[in-house]
Amino acid sequence: MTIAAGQLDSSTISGRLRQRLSELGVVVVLLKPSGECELIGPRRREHELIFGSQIFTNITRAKLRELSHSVGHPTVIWPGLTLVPIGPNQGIATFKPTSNDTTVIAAALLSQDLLHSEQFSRICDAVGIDLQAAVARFDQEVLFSNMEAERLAQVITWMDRDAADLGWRLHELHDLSWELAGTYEELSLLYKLSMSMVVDHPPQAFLEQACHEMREVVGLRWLAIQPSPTEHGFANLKVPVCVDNQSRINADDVRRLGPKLIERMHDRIEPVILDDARVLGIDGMDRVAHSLLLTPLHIEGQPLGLLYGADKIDPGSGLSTVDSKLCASLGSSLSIYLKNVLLYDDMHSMFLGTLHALSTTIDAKDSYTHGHSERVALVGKQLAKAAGLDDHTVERIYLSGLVHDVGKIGVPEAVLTKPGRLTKEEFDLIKKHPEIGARILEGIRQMEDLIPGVLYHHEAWDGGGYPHGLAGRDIPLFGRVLALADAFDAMSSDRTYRNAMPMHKVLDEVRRCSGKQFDPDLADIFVGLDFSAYQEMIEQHKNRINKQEKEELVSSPEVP
Amino acid sequence: MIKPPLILLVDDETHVVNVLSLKLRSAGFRVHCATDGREAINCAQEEAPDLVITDYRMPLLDGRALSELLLLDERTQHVPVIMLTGLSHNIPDGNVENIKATICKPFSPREVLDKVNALLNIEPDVEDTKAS
Repeated sequence: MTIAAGQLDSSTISGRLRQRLSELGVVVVLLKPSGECELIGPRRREHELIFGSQIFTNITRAKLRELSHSVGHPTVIWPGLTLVPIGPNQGIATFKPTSNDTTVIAAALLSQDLLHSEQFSRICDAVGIDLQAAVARFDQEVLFSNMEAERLAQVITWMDRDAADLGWRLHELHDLSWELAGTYEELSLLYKLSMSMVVDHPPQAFLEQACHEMREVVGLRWLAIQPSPTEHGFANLKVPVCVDNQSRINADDVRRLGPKLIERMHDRIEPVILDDARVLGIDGMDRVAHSLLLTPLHIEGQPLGLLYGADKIDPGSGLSTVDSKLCASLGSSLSIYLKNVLLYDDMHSMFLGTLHALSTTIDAKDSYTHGHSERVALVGKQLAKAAGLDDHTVERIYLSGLVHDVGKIGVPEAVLTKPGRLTKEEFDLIKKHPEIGARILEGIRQMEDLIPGVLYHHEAWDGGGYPHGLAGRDIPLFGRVLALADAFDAMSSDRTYRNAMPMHKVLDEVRRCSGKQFDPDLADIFVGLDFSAYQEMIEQHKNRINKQEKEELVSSPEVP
Repeated sequence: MIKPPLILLVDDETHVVNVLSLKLRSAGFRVHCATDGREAINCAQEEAPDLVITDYRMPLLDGRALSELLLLDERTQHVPVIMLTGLSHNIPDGNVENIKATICKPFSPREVLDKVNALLNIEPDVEDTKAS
């Protein structure tokens, strides 16, 4: 079995030493301050005679302090009796000797000289044993030769030093392993943070998770991330705060601190430790923090926010440069993330803006279809959501709705805006718009998944639609959803050839065409939708048209 | 007194063994350590552990083979195994039923302890402070 940190402590090391001594036939004695002597391990009556004697007690009691300071050094008590003090003041225990603890554990070596010593005959006298009889009982099993005893004392001294050394090393291993455990935590945290920095997920969840993990690893009472208040991209973010369970600190109190701290940290780029947070002169600081660790988040001089936390949980330790270095490296990862959030937000609003511009362009070709694409997108999104599709798909269906008619750019305006019935040739031209639209979007990687909505929004469930005459579930989902939304808006709004139908009639029509033109499952869900947002949008679009027409009337006289 | 649960810790990297052994001991577990699969099997036969944490890639007998051997012995067939793996190597396909969790290196010792507590249905000790 392998020995690892924390496994062998000082007591097992000295225990092992004692075990080996008794295997060698060496008695181990425990000397207490009271003068009492206890024998550890196997002993014989002869041992009890010597170590239980008043003489031994008196001498060792007088020498106890001296013995306790001479661990590992043989001390001759009287001729033929040598003590070699060993643990328990061994290894780790030697780091904090207690002043009143003068208990001594010693290996006791009895040798031939003992029998001739004056003390031995006094012991025999004291208990009334005949000296000659006693000498006869102390055979080789109890006594070493003088030479043996001397050598053994030396060996015990070495063993004791080795045991002490082992104790030191284990203590070091113990400390190093704790430090290493801390480094493991940091490494795994940095790794986890960098792996989970996926910006197309909502940043709130990531930041909260990051905050939680960082607080635990740094060991702070609370930790919060305040994104820069001047950046629009962070507008919808709630400042993530993580507070230790045991601390009764209000997260909102911590949140209120954020903007004030950012103000104070103005221009600083290095982390700051404040051992006394009161120096900031912020009201209510006492309730929240005694000491603060402030880590500015920035990239190339652009301030992105502040990572701020307070008070180590371990009452014995204060905030140190190790903590601030760790926070600095966590902070630089966080800064990259925050910067990416901003860039992604920029990119996304640019993308959305482009799609809106595109849909407005299409709808502008025909004032009767003004706002059509936006309404189809809105209703398509509502239907997708009600059908239980995931957020991402719902969003993509919305975008697909915005561009579903983009192909109409390739259809002559005269055909698009022609009042009354179309000829077959004209209708054939109109029927080309899904394929033209698909071709327009084909080369744009970010829009490729929107194509099915563009290409198939005129397919019918029974196979009677265009351009490919697909039927049932062969029609991609985006196509089936947008077919409903498109037909619904066509019926609900004024067209060149007829006025808008009332809502209840439109829904009757949807029901009637369920399973023929429309996916029956989607149609079922569709008729249950709440159309108030849709109707609001129709009103807005009408008002805008009226306004435009009035402006055109007013400005037309100036046109030459 | 009830003996604390015994964890068998197997990894050929001693620093991993040291860190986890210390973390687990200070949380009150008994820990036996081994540096390869063979040694681990011997340890497990001497005293069946309550849980095994093993590295995947080791000399002589890898973590997966070790888990399979534990399954064969009725004394250890119900012992849950937590597998530690490097990022670069995935565990080959095919489930070994006693491998209850896989943790990627670099791992957080704290998470390993949470996982051990969860697998042994132990309420984590709030006072998991550094032993002096």
